Amino acid sequence: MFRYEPRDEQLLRERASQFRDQIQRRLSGELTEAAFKPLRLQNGLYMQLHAYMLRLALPYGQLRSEQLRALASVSRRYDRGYAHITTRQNVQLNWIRLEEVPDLLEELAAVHLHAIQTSGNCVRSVTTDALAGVAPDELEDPRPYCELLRQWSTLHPEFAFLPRKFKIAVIGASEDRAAIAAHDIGLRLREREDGEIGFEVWVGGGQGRNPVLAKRLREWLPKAELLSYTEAILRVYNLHGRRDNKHKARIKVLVGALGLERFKARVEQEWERVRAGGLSLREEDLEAMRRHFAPPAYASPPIDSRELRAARLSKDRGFARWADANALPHRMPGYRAVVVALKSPARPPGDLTADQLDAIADLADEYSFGEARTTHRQNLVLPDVESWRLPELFARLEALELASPSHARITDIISCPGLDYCNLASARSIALAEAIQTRFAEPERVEALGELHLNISGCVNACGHHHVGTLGILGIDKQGTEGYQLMLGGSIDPEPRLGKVLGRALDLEGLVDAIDRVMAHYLQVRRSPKERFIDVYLRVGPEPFKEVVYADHPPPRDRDRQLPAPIGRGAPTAGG
Amino acid sequence: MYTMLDPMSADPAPAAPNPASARTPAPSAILTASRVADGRAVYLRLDRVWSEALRDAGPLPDEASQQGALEWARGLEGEICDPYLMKVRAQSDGLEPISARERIRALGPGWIRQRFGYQV
Repeated sequence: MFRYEPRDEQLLRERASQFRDQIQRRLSGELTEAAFKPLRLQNGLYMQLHAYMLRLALPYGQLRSEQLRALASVSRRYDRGYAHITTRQNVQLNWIRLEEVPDLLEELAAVHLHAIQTSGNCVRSVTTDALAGVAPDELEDPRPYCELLRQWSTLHPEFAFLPRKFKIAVIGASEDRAAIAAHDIGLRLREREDGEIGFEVWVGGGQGRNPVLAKRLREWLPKAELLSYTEAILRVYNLHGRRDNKHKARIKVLVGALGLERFKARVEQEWERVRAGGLSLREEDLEAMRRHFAPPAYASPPIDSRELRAARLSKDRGFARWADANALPHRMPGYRAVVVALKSPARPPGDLTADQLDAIADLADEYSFGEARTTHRQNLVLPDVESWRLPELFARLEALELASPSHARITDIISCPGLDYCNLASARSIALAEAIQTRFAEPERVEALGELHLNISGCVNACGHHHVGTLGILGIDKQGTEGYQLMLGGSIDPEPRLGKVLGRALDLEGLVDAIDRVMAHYLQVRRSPKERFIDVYLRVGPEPFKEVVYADHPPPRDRDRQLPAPIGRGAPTAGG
Repeated sequence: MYTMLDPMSADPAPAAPNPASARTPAPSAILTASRVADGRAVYLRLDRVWSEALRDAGPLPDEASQQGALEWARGLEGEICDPYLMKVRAQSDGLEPISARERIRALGPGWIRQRFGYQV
């Protein structure tokens, strides 16, 4: 993994010190909120519904065990003993006191963690495939390019005040596990006909109230021009993106207004100028960066997975189900990448306690060369686990309540914080996620439903990626009460597609019932267990599902005089 | 001490009577803000002290009192931020926010934390 140099550590300490001074001036009233807001946002600090929230950057989702322990420590000392993984592979702490933020940041700086560019109108933390470097379908490890982009974009003075936030994702595999189509720039490593590897460049993807799938800007870009071409795109956007209307300021609007060809012409013209400025990468630079991401010392010859197979054939159905869902193929024979599921009715999707963070740090050291990753779907991955050790790892995760066999199942819910935390939300997401988890608690049923992506957003800003969920749910405010729209048919891979609203909004219980009916109908009409829900939906269209949801479903109850449904009343609570 | 309402209940748990609201049968707005130190939602009492409890909020029945309070609050940099007027309606047992957002916000951090034990 890439490690910071002393000058990077110094920068982080200085940054914390500067923020300490700014916070003191804010608390004394010397700085107004208007003056302070851009400063706190540049340090990842949001004002949410009940408290400050601090978003910490985990570039491309990589975590060393010492960083996991540091996150556990600060979440205990400065928060309420837990942390939350986001869809962009970052971490959020939800109950921060303003005056304690600098101490927290200084503690994290010691392990090279920070909150720089996790908010504000700048280039945000770069994301990638959580299986980068280990996926069997990968052409090349994208992490060296993520790190180059991180270094180039960090505190880049020209791009500190863009028209709007800017998100970049990079992948190297055939399957898109980072949702590049939903990013301002999506980069995919691909091989040209002559065998040379470069980048396919996608631009203008984004969700929010006007979702747009990214368009292909360039079929192939030499790797050496990664930074020069990205800089050209950013410069065109910075110069021509709208600043008069926040809702029309993302690059997707500029690409739409100019049209792809005119936008591309401007980028290519700018690129000619940028290339002359020395931003092209030399092969030795690329090679030096690649060395930071060299594979770990895998067992050689690889230990085969006889014990795994034996366990699967045994009566341990729980292990077999978990291994089938969560132990993913690895490019090295005898290894698996293990998804540590942060999904259960006992927690909001993506939450884990300080004790669990410490325990995962230990597991990373014992099973995965001291490394873990955060994922786009708000889970963790231990990337390098020997197959024969899976049964014992499963037992350890089970004891931690982190062994739900939920990867890519209906219970693997992406959820924004929603109205329980978020200042912008229209409806609660966590309560709905919990109600769905509870309804679909039976593992056999979840397994039978097969591959599904259920994504929940609590408002039109779409932080929960509902537009691209196989089942997407949007929370809305219906004259003071919460409502939920169900969307079907969204997808990221193999073909990005926006889901379509099925019908009128329902209340929380009605929405859970609707999903139940949709799933029951799917099981009835699928031709075989191999025909996934998305396949059936594309085959039969929305009408049959609309019928089962709305045919005899009563109109939403008049909830004008009452508040919404319980947050999982009666469901178990997590320990601690 | 703030008595937490059960937002799920069709018949919310009664809050302690607010003498001010009893005197003013049809309040239309109260003033709320976020506390600078920790971001906690606070509500302005009639004696111009901030309280974490919605039930303590002093109703502002007319445009003049609302704008006067808002202007005053905007001068409190360092203590609170982002003050705004919040629509409420009078109930027999106190004030009730009109929007779901404000009802949940008024319940405070305990609302989510009570549900997930590890957050307490």
